[in-house]
Amino acid sequence: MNEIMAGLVNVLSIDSLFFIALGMALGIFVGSMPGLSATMAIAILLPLTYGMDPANGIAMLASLYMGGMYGGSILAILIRTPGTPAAAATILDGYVMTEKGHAGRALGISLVSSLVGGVIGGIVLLSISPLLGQIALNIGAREMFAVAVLGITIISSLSAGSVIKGLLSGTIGLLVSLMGMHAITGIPRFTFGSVYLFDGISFVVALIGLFSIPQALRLIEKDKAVAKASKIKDKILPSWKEFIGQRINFLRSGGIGVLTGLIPGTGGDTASWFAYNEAKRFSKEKEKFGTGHIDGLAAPESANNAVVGGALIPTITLGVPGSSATAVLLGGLMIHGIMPGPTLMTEHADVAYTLLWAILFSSIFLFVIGLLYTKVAVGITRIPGKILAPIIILLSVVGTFAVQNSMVDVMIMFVFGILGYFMDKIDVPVAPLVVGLILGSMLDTSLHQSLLIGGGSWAVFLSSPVAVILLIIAFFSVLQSTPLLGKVVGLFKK
Amino acid sequence: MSYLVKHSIGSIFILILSIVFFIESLNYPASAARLPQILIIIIALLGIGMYIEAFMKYKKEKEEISKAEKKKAEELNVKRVLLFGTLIALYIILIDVIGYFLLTPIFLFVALTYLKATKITTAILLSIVFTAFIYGLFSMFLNIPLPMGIFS
Repeated sequence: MNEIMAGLVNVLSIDSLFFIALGMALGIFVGSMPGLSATMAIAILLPLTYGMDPANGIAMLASLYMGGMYGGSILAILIRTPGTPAAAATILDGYVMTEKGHAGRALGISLVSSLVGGVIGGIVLLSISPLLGQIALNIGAREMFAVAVLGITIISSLSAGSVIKGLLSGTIGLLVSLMGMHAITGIPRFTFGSVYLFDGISFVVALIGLFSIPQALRLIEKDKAVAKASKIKDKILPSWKEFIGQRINFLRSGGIGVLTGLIPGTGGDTASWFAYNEAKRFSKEKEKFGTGHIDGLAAPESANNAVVGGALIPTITLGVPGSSATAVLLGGLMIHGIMPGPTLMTEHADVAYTLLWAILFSSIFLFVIGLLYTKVAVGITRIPGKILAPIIILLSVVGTFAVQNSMVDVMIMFVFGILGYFMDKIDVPVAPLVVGLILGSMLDTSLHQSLLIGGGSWAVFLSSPVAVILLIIAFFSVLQSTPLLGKVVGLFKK
Repeated sequence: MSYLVKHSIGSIFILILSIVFFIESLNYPASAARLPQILIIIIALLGIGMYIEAFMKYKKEKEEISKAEKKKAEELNVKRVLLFGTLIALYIILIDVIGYFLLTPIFLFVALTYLKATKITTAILLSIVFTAFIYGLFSMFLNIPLPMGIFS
C-alpha cells in the first residue's frame, strides 16, 4: 500500500506531470503523422530519457504510447488511413461521420472513448499488478524458464503472417541477446575477437535501428500523394447524454481491450476489431453500424486505449513484454540499468508504481491535449514523409551516439536498421525479435539455474507442475498455428 | 525481385550465419554453449522451413503472388532507397571525422534536396533550424554529448 501511495506522490510532482504531458503531446503528434509509429518514437526518444530520473523517463514514454493510440485514430477519421494498425476499425464509422460533415463530432467521441478506455486499463493495471507482482516473487528458475519460452512462442505464433517466420524472428532475437560476456562462466560469446562486442549488443541501440531506419526508408521508397484531410467545422465534444448512453459499450470494449492486451502477441488491432464486433452483436440497431454510428466508433476507440494498461501487466510484473511497443518501453528502464523481471515491482518499486499511476494520469492528459491538438491536426497531417525521413535519421544517429558515446554503436544501429528493412521485405515480423532480445538473458540464466537444481538433467522441468503446464501451453501455441494440428484432429474424428 | 529469390537469399543468409555461429560456439565450455547451440539449430531448421513454406505457397498461388510482387516492384523506387541508404552510411562514417556541426546541415540539405521534399530555400532553413534544435536539446538541455569531430 505504501508503494502505491509513494507512486502517486511521485506522479503528482511538477516534473513528472510535465513529462507525462510532453510524452502525450509527442505521442498524439507522431500517431497522427502518416507513416510514423509510436513504437518508433519511443525508440528514438529512449536516449533522451537517459538524462532524466528513471521514473519520469518511463512515465513520459508510457504516456507517448497512450497518445499514439489516439493519434492514429485522428488520421483514420480525417483521411481514412489508420495512423496505427490499432485504428483500422475506427475508419468504419469514423470516416463515414467525416464524409457526412461530422468530423469534429467523430474526433470528440474518439477522444472521450479513448479517455474512458485508458482509465479502465489504468485502473485494472493499478489494481492487478501489485497482486501479480507478489505472486511473481515466488516464481522459481524452472517456472521462469517456462514463462520465457511461453512468452517467445506466443508472440511468435500470434504475430501476423507465417508462424515459421515469427519463430525464426524470435529465436534470432534470443541468440543475438546472448552475444557478449556470459554472466555465469565469463566467456565472451560470439564477439568474434571484437572488444566492442564484449558487453554484447545494447538493446536500446538495436531498437533504434530496427524501428527508425526501416521506417525512414519506407517513407521515401514510394511516391505517394499527400492525402487531403477534411476540415473540421462542427462541435467536438459529445453531449452528456451521448456519453452516458455509451456506458455499457465503454465498459465492455474497455474490458475486451484489457484482456486482449494481456495476451502476448495480440494488441490494439485485435482488440479494436474484437470490440467493434461485440458492440455490433449486442446492439439493437445492427444495421446502423458502418453508417457513422456512435457505438461503432466508441467501441474500437475505448478498446485500443484500454490495451495499454492490459499490455503493461505482464510487462511489469514478469518482465515479459507482449508487443514491440511494450518491449521498447522496457528499454526505457534498461537504459538506466534496471533489468526487467519478476523482481521489478519490489526492487524498483518507486519506478514501477510511478509508471502504473502515470498510465492513469496520461489518460487525463490525453483528453486535454487531444482536445487542443484536434484543432491543428488537419494542418499537421499534410507534412510530407520526405521531410521527416532525414530528420528521423538525424535523431536516431545522434540518439544512438548519446547512449554510450560510441560510434561503433551507431554502426551497429545502422546494421540492425538494414536488417529490419529486409525482414520487412520478406514479411518476417520484427516484434518477436525485439521480445527475444529482452527474454534471452532471462532464458539463459533460468535454464542454467534449473539444470543446476536438477544436476544437469533436463527432466528437472517435469518436477515443477507449473513449468510443465506453461511449456505444454507453449507447445500448443506453436502447434495451433500449423496445419499439423488440423491433421491430428482429423485423424481422431475418423 | 521474385518472391522465391527473395526467400532463398534470406534462407541462405540464415544458414551461413548459423554455421558460422555454430563453429564459433564449439570453443565454449558446455554450460556456455548449451543454449546458443540449441537456438542455432532451431534457427537453421526454421530458415530451411521458411524456404519450403515460400516454395509451397508459390507453387499454389503462382499467379497472384507474381502479380502482387510486380505491383510492389513498380511502386518501389530502388535507386532512391539505395542512394538515400548510401547517404545515411556516409553521414555515419563522416560524422566522427568532420563533426556534428558541419556535417549535419549538409546531410539534411542534400537529403531534402535530393528527395525533392521542399523548395531549396525551405530546405536550407530546415537544415539550419534542425541542426540547432537537436544541438540545443541534447547538449544544452539534456547534457548529452554529440560527436564533435574536428571541433573537439
